[in-house]
Amino acid sequence: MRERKNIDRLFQEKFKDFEVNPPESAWGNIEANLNKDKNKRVIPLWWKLTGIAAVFFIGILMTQTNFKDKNVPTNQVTIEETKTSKDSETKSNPKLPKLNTVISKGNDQQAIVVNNNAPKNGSTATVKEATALKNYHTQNAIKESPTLQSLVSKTAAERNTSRANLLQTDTSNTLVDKTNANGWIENSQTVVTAPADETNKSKENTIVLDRSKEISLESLKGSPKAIAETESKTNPKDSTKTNETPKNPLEELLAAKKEDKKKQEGKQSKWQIISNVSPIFMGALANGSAIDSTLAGNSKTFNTNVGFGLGVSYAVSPKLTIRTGLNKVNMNYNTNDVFYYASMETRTLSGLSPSGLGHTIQIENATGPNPSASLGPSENDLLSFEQNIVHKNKGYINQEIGYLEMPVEMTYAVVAKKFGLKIIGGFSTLFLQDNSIAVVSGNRTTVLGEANNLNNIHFSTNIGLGLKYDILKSFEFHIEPTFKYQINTFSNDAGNFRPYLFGVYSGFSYKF
Amino acid sequence: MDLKELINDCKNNNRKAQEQLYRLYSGKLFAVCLKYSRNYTEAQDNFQDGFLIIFQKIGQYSFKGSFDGWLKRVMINNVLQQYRQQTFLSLVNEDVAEDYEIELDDDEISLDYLLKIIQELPDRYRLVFNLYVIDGYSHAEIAEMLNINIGTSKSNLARGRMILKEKIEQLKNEETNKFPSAK
Repeated sequence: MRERKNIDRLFQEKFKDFEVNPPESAWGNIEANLNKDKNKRVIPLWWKLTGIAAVFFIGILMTQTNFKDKNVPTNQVTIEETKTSKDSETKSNPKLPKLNTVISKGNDQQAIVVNNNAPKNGSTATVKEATALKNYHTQNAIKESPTLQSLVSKTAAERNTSRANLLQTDTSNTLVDKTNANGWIENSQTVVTAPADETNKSKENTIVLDRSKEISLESLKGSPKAIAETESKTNPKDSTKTNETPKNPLEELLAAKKEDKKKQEGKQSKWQIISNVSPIFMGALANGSAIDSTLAGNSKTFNTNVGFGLGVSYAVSPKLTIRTGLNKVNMNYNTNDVFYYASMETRTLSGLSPSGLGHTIQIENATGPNPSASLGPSENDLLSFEQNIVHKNKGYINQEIGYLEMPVEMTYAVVAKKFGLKIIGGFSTLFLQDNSIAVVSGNRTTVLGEANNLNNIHFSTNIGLGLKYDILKSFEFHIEPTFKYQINTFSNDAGNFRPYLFGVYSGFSYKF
Repeated sequence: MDLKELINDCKNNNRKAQEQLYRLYSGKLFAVCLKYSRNYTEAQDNFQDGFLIIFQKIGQYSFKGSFDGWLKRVMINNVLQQYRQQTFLSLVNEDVAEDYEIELDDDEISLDYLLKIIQELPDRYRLVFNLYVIDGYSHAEIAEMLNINIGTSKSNLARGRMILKEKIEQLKNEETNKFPSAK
């Protein structure tokens, strides 16, 4: 059929559902470019993160004492816990005012031990409370001192009677509800109803934990003694409160909520403080001497040192972390088989800035075929009478170098479970701290001076493998064999001497 | 997976989602590129660049208006960018014949041929023709997009149409010459 058509309509109709698949290679090209973009962006981001991490680390150093303080409240947690349980006892048994005074008089540790022992006496109703308390006890690792134990036995007897009383009141749940509506004592209540329920147990343990943390904050404000006093004061108040607000289920809900929050926070914790101790094994990839070219052929003995440090890491993603820190690193090695003697006209070693005695000590290679030829004035140059005077000592040169190392490393987790395996890569900036060269013979050490060819700042490239084990949720133990190849340690070629370090960095880290 | 989720995953740079999105829309968007570009090779280049821009800018898409429309606009803008940078021959604003009617059989002319003659148009004619006729932009919008004035846009369109018409007629003549018995 032939018709006249507007050219616009022709195109519109034809192209209405126009679709053409692009060539297969197109996606590959796009993907490659996307990856390129990503890489391009990663570098500045990584630098930013490094900066943040560094700033954070400095912050930690400044507030290090604050971090340590964090551990303190746990002690008081137990105190509070024991007190609350005591409250319940005394509340349920108003006939025991004596006990109350004993507690408020006694110091905190007493109270803890007392309470821990009490459940052991076998009152079934408080089994769960006891486990909760034991938990604290083990966590806080409070040691029972012998003097305290005598006290314990005394109070334990009293306690026994109070427990028995409590048991009596516990015979009906409703009674407990009224007397112990204060919250903490849900414990004893639920114990009665379901003592064998394991999951319940653990749940409640954590609930109690939460509560006690709240209290511990308050208690931090005052001294333990003051707390004990206020505790005894508030006791009567509590008993009135219990009548007003029996809101056990609600509090339980709140506690569960809090627990959830805590769990979430645990998952999101991205920061980690890392401590490190490591034996540092030094070695060199090529022969050579940084002290003097004539000593290049001499054998070197590399001594093992200990390095330690602190760091902080930030999890960019669950698998990828970036970290930095500060380590103290010492290296020290011997250049064996040298002669040394005092001389008026010394040729100083090329890598040495002599100081003090160093100016007058002549070093010679004791291994070379003709040592004297290479090193300034020696036997041949000396007058015959001089040769007789000069006494050559045999020994070795010891060079000690100390650095403050700031690593910037990325780790990639290959396995990230309770046991973890990760690959570590990065570089370190090393700031020269200690620098000395000494000559040692027997047990006599003579300092010659400093090495003049060590750079004040140099770098190393680091490659390592990390193994970790989660001890607690936020605590982990790690061990990281790491190889650190030193770049431009020396300002000049230093006779092809290329040292490296190998460390087995182990320590603990804390997530927060 | 619904589209919103897919878009959000793309916003998070999820490679799998990006690929899925690509598979969904590559046909439509490559067609756009073919229309607006000079040839297949340039279309592929523009298409790849355009998709990269889409992935870069997908974060800006706020679920207002159709996603198809948004994608197409980004793609078209990208192509325009390519040709806007190139200098155009100065074009004379002269009136052209207003007769755009053409006599032809249904399905007489293949889509491939139409695409070919669009691609053969001078850059600006091609862009204006596509924008106005196929993608429905107004002359005012086109003028802004191409940084020309409305009159220029109109005259470019007219010239583009003329060329296309001539080419179609040429083809028709060739075919009638080839198969004289058909007439």
